[in-house]
Amino acid sequence: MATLFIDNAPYQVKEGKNLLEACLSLGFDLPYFCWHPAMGSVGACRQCAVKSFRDEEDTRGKLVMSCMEPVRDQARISIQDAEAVGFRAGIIEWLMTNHPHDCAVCDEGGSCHLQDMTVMTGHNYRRFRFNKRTYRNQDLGPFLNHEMNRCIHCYRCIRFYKDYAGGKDLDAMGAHNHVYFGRSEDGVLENEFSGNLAEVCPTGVFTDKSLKQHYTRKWDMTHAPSLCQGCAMGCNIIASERYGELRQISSRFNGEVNGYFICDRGRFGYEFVNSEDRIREIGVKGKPEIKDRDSLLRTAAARIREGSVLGIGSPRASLESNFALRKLVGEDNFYHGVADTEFDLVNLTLRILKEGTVRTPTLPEIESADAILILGEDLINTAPRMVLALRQAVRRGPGEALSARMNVPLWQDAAIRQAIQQDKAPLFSITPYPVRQDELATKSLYESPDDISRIGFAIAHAIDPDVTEIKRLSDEERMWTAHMAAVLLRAERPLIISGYGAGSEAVIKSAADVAWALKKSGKDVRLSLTVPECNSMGLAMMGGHRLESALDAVAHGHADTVIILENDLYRRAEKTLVDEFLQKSRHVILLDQVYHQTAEEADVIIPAGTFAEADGTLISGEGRAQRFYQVFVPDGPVQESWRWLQQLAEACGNRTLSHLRILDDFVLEIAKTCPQFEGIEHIAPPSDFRIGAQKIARQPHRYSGRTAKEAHIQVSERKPPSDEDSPLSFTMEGYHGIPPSAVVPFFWAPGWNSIQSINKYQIEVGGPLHDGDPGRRLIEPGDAHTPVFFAEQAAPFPIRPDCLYLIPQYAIFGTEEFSVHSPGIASRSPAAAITVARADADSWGLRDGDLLEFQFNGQEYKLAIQTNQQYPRGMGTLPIGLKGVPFMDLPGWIRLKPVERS
Amino acid sequence: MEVYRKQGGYAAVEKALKTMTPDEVLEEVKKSGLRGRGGAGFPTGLKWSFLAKPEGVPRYLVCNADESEPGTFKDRDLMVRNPHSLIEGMIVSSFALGANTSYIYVRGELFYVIRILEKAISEAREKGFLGKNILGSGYDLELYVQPGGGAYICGEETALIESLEGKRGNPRIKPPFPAVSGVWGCPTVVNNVETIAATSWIVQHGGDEYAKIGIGRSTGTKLISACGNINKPGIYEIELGLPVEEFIYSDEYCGGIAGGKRLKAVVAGGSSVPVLPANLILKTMAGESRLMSYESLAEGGFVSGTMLGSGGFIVMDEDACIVRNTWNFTRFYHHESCGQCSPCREGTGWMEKVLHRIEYGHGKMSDIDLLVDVAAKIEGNTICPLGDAAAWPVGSAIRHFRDEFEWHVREPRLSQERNYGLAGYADPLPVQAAEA
Amino acid sequence: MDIDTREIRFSAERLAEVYEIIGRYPEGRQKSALLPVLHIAQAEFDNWLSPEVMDYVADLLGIQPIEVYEVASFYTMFNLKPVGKYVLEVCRTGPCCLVGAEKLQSHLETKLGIKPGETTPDGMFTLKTVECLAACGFGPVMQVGATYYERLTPEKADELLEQFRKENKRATYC
Repeated sequence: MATLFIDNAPYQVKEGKNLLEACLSLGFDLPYFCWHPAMGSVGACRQCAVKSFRDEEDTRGKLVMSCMEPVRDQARISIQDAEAVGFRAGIIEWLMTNHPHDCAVCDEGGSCHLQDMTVMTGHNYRRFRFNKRTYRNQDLGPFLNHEMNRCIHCYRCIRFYKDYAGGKDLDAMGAHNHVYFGRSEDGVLENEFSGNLAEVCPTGVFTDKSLKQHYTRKWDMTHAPSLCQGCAMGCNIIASERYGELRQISSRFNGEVNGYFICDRGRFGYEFVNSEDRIREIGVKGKPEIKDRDSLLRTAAARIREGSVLGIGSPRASLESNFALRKLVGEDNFYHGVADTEFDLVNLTLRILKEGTVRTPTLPEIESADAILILGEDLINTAPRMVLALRQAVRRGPGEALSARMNVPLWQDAAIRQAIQQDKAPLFSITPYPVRQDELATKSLYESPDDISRIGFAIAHAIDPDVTEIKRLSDEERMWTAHMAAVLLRAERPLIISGYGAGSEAVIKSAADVAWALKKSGKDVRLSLTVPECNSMGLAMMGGHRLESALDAVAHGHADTVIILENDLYRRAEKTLVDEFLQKSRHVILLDQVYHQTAEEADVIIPAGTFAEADGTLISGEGRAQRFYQVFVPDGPVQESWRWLQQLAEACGNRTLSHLRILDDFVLEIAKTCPQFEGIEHIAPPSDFRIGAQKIARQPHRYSGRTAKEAHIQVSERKPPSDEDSPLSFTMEGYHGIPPSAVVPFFWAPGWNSIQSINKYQIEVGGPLHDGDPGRRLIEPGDAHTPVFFAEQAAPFPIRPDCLYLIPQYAIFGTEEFSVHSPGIASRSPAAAITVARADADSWGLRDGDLLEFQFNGQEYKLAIQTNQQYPRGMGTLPIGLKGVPFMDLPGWIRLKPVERS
Repeated sequence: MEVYRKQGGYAAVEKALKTMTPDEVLEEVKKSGLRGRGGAGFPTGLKWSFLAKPEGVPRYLVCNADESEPGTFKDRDLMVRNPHSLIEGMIVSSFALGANTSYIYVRGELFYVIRILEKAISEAREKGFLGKNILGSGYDLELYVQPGGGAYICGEETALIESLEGKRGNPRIKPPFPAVSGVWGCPTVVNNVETIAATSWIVQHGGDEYAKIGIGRSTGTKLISACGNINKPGIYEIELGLPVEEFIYSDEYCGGIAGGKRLKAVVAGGSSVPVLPANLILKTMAGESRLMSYESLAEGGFVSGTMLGSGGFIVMDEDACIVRNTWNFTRFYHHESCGQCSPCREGTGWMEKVLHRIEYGHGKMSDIDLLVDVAAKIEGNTICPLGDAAAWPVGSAIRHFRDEFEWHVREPRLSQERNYGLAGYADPLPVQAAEA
Repeated sequence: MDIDTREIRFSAERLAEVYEIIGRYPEGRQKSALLPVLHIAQAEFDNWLSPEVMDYVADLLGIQPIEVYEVASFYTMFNLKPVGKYVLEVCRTGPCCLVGAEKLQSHLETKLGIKPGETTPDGMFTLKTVECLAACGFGPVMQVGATYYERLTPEKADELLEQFRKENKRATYC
């Protein structure tokens, strides 16, 4: 610790940080623009100037940029010094010379960092008597608006987009005071993290286009702490609503999970909540008169009691909802609504994490890995946020080395970046086809899943001879495995990544073997295994049977009534099987949020709340239990699935859930009865938590129009809904200070209206949040013991004539079930086609766009192909889950129909 | 080449590579007291001694031939007349620094100079002064010419490095200095053409000999490029310490003011240094004769002094309009601002607009103080020296010629018809009056 | 020839020049060749850099097209719009103005009937004002292609225009 004198008062601060961070962490209001806690300092805006004094005697001092100066013991600075105050106001005055006075019509207004900083510096009188600079804006695609006239040239956009996120289509053009931040021409911003620009930009140049369709000021929205349901990363988000419509998703800082940033699927994939495809009403086939909850419950209960029932749980439903279903139908009748292959992969993953010796990494741990091996995983499409973390990781090693050599702190972003040039820490990526992370890799290999696992096992063997030696490796494979093993052994914090993406248990096992072998040799290694959906891990931990068995149970008459929880079975099993299953079931009761093919076949449809209308707990791929909260109470019968199921159980006369009424009851019951979930009761404060006898307000204290906004329906104000499930209130009444970290509905502090107010919620700038980052890890490896390696001899991938090994492929935009309901996301979906090696297509006489006819599991299919020169021979990929692509439980061999050769 | 050889050219290369160690060369340059001729006047030997030498990391020498400071045109002449003196300097300097690849970054407009240099380089290579194992010394050096793209800012050494890397010429934050992290993140020294050319003389004749030339800490000779309203504009190699008055009026140098007019003002070291009225350029406040040296020109600080800078000597006669000239320079700096940091990017643009307004008779009195305020806030608060370079001309013009600015405001119509003229600038000021 | 219909590709000779330039930098630093190669490209393809030309350069150097755009738009020597056969670059900075650059510029404007930044309808001349060309002692200065024309007077400028009209070739930097 160092003693820093600020305006002659001593403070204890951490050495090594910069003065700006130190001042902000101490709670001082010091304006800034170009500095960003995750991106470091470049000293471009010159806004954060303070006076620095040599010693006590020095009365003149000199202006320094606080973001550029490291904290030194006994340093003396002044924030209040008249010259510093005047200079900071001067900078704002300069920035405002060309900034339009359009706050009233600007989307950023009310959550604008520039507004806040302008007020903070006290600049309010205009001396600039000239016309303002103007620019032409660009159409940047479905996610972001562009309004360059508002630009203050802080360079944050390209520093995030280009430097931090690796984007290739946004840059600074031109020079002097006419620099233009944009693309080379109109067009979609391609980077998967582009949406963060709306938060990174300190003013209204880049704003959320989806918000614009139903624009509301930040202060006029109801907010809730929520979780992204787009994949299993568990990114923390803020969901915001007005007039019963979900209007915006923004990132919610969690230092252990997503930091400051989320991906575009997470930010823009929310529109299904407002979609016309939503299930909002109760539907009972043949009984249109049943519209209200009570009659529905009576009808459904009668049907459930009629026969023998089975329940199909869901990896996208909360722990509470799955638990409620399992209780309702009984443990023996609880099945997982996931494809059988996925069931096996996720259960294997869970077993490896639980019984193995290596921990899963948190986000900061991923960012600090110094050697990385990725086996089989196309991460941008299966765990997008991880790619952003890896991008920081590969810079970190070289950055730290240079930081030491040059004696320049790591947060000196520009200096470190210029010195690093293109150097990277080792990252090896072995995948079935070219992937985004290749641009981070020091070496990429494209192999079939079989061969990936063989290479993985061979690396493990090279690290630890106890792992079975893999025979028949090619010379090149042998060379690379030896090299990769040596690099991993040289590292201090190696990271192994694999997961469900390649659809191969062997690949996951080989990743585990590498990690375990490294652990055995004393390395501080981490193992990250992706799983597909937001609660895949929670469902696997809960336990249950395979979907195949559910189909069997109905086929063999062991069950005839089916309750399907938040699931479209046509995405889980092949069509003929699901058709048969649903036809044979006497009653099909579906609880879900959006209409889909299964809903069309269901006899009873029960409208379930989306994440915006429900509370619940999810377990992320990391094994972290986190809570999400309802943002608003929807009109009509929509409510949480767990609540429906509890009421359904009651109506059936099933008393197992009688004592569970509110969310807390479920949470406590799960923690009590399922030891694997012990601890989830502590991840967030209980519903009776109060601060000064107050609940935490979901609405900002400036929320307007409550008494008037429904005046066209009724002039007297409706009683606001109460929330018995959480410590949050649905109104502006309540506590507006800094609540426990798990229940922060939005970030705001006096004078800090924008998302930059996160600073005030952190113990020190950059995190963690006050009282710790939310969530609790439930899976920790067992006590150190000798691992039992998986590796066994396997033959190299065989290329079979007239057959193709088809593996699933995923797309950040397109293969996720709900997010494609956002038109912007849908517009960025890839083509519904099989991709194969060009040489294979040539050998069949096929070209891009030609149709490939094939058989799989006895069914005939016909799909377009596209070719890629870098694909391994004998293998193809298909984006499963994409519109227009029939479900197939891949991977598997498909038999090609003979192509007519002319 | 033959001519240069006959005149003793490349003797320094032979001497350095065959008889000296790199450290001995460095020692001679230190002893010479040579100071950077690009404008800042930083001691070259000291700069070289800062060069980091991490193991396994290449080091680079880059010659800054991006001459574009208004009023400065000496390097072009040197390169055209005597390209081999630069190449010879590059070889001995690279040898001293342990650089095996060096670049001469020439402003892109001068493609014909680039061709001359490239021809000279291939001649030097043919004679074995470049390439592998030069003169059997075991020392290797490759030398290349890199064209710029037309940006004044690339004369700033870190912007030049960025440009050499094929990027926009945005100056870098220092530290780290190029000596630690320069081209491609490697330790790098960037020196002006004239500085590098001087090193071969120093090696050949010894640092002590060089130090004997000149005056005090301003050792050696300096190329002065003189322009503006004088009889003999051109490039003059002077021994530092020459009286300014002699330089302006002697037939050996500028040959007096053109057309027999009277001297009004001088910008002594390239457009960025403070402009001084005739009385203050010829004599210091203390009444002493001002000399062409780093120290004498700076005498009086920014209150009454200026800087030697890059040696761009711009002379203005009684018909010159200080407001117009200040506006012109400010427009230049605005245009050449890279746009990276706020004070320079926004401040230069604003100053240009205000100056334009005053020059064209639409100014207000408060505009003058506004200019002072904006210039003062830019000064010392930008990433690179371009901010200072833009602020000093404005600050000094108003400091010394405020009445001319006020006249433009007071007489909006008259100022469009005629110039303010000489007023009292040429008359010697009593010391007290100037201080007040 | 119309740039839109012409295939954008360097001749073998030019290509060899480009590869020689790339060879001047350490491995992996080929981006450093960007400025010299852009100069060559501009000279080769009608004295301006169309997006297609810049994409071609990006491809040659193995960098992203946007890395070329951001650089080309920063430096003043690169023309991002079509220009006349002779680009008359008149220095407008202080020292040249002290000795008559403004007069020279307005003379050229009147003579050619165009303002700075414009091209004569016959596609012969583009007038461009530029900042200091570092020939301050020999002002007023005008650069045309690789050549500096110094100590210009309106009369000398007229002669030059005539000479250019007669030559009728494209003047480029390199």
